[in-house]
Amino acid sequence: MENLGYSPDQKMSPNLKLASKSKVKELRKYTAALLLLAPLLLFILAFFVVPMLYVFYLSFIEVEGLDISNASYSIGNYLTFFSDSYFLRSLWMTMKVSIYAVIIALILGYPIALTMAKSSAKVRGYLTLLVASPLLISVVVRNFGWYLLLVPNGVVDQFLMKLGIIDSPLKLLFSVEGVVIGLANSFLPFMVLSIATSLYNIDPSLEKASSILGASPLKTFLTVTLPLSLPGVVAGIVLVFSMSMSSYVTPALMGGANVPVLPIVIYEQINTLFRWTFGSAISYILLGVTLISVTIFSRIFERKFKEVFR
Amino acid sequence: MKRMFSVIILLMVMMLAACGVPNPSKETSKQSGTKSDSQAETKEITIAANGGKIEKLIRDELAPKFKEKYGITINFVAGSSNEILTKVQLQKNNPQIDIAMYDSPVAVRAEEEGLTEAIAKENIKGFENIDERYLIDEHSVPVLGYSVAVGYNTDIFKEKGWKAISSWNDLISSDYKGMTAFPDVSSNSGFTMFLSLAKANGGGLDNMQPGMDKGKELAAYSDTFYKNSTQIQPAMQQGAAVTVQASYTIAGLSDAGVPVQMVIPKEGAPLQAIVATVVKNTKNKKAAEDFIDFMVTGDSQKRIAEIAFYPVVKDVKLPEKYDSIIGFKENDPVYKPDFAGIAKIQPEWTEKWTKEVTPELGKKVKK
Repeated sequence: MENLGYSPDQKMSPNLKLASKSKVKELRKYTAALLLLAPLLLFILAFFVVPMLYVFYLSFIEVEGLDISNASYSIGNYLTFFSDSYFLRSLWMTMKVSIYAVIIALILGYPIALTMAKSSAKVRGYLTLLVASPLLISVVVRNFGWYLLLVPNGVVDQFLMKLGIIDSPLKLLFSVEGVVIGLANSFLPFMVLSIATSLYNIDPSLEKASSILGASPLKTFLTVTLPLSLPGVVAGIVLVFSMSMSSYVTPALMGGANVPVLPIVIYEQINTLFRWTFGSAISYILLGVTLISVTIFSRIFERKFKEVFR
Repeated sequence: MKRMFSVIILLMVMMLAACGVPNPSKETSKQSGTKSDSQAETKEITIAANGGKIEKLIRDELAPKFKEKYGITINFVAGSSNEILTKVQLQKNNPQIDIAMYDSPVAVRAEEEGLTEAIAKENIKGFENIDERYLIDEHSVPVLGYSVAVGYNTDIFKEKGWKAISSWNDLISSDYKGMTAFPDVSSNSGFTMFLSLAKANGGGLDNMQPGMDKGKELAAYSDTFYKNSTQIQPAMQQGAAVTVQASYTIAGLSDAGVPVQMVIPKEGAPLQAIVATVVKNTKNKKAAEDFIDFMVTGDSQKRIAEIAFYPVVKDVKLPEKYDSIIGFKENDPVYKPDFAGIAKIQPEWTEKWTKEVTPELGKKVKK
């Protein structure tokens, strides 16, 4: 069987003939994997890697206006970003908003995930559908819905004022709070589903053992369930954080001019001020900051809870 | 493995090279050489313009009529002026868009970047009829006129007993705090508001600082600056009393049931237009000019007036229901702005406003 499987490519290579049988096997495994992955790799290459490289190349060009044929190469765009307090404040605001969104999503999401893990397969199916339902609606429509509800003197304000709960409009829109509400709402499903997945994988006998040994349900949760679900929690945090960092529609609609997070600044630099190359540089700064924060965060967790992440 | 890698890297390099900034190739000039052949068989042209009302009018009404008359199908691409300019710039060497419609200041920018063809007056039959206040130069033809001015909710003003607005400076009032719907500087109306505030306080294109100072006061009484007119409508429907918008948006508010009235402040309001340009190096120049001509015929302009744009030709009037709201009288101080001057200073001052004025938002509004 094995002799039949050689590809013509391998036959021609003299090195391969000398190689041991196991090595050939391994190589064939790789080739098969590569062939299977090839369409995806090509797709990613053409539509993601290459444009990203082009944007990276653009970010080193210093130019005013649209025509880049007579531009000079430098790291000036990056220097401009880090020497201007407006952009640094915007970066900090982006991180702040994302961290808040993560915290809200975590607080709201964990109990849902726990409920899903503890319920029967049928109920779990319904719950999953419910949790994922916000993803079925376009992000623009969903946020415009929030916008109409929260607009100053809008439905929510008027309702609460009629009930006498508040006496002046809440001003949730055009504020960090509004953006956080929108982001947490958008990305909650990702938090819930990643925590739930790691909860499903916990061996139920561990919890049983804990209670047989006399631990209260709360103690069991804190010492067994919670630590074992950490990989899911970390995955959820990383997902929600990175998506919040790069989200544009929600801050644009819910925060408007008042919450200029980096994606909005990038859009404005590119589309209003026509500074493509500076916008490209900011995109890479945003990408870099997100990657670094996510890496540091997950490293710390992995080191602290070695047993769980092994 | 190694070979695979080198193939992948080679591919990447090739794609990168393809993404580069190619110089106008020889083929382009060849194409323009054989223009008459390709034009003879123009079957369809692509128009890029604002979405919403304009898109509906062109796609649903004017395009079928144009097809009937000329046998040419119209494709429509919707986008804001800036988005369209970005697209046209990106497709510079192989234009997919034949007619690009921009707000006047953006059109000037497009022309400066060499993205427009000169339009021969004799190809636009309706040219003599066009009100010259809307004209920029031979690279564009105005098609939908408007002004940017103040709009206020007449019911709220009456109820509160506020005096009528007569100056751009009147926008700054503690009365209106938390009840404003002013546009963001990144939009055409926002920048017009900025420039008007500068003008009303002794400044102008060469001195925008007075506008910045007044802008900060304006921001302090406002919850936010609205990035687009879609967001202004719900705000005006739900209690905002005063806005600065394009005349057609103010008319749209009235259509949506807001009791609104437009005022042209005594310092003046600019008369602008959405202008049509023929995209540089298009293969369908003749058909594009035909469509532009079609847009300035009396019939088309009548329809344009019915969706609340000022007709750009002299013999068509705004319908009565809009004339009472957004119409201007003979002696109203509307003026023709210096679009080239605006295009020159706009990026710098837009950024300044964003950095210095926007952070002042809501400082004097009770939270």
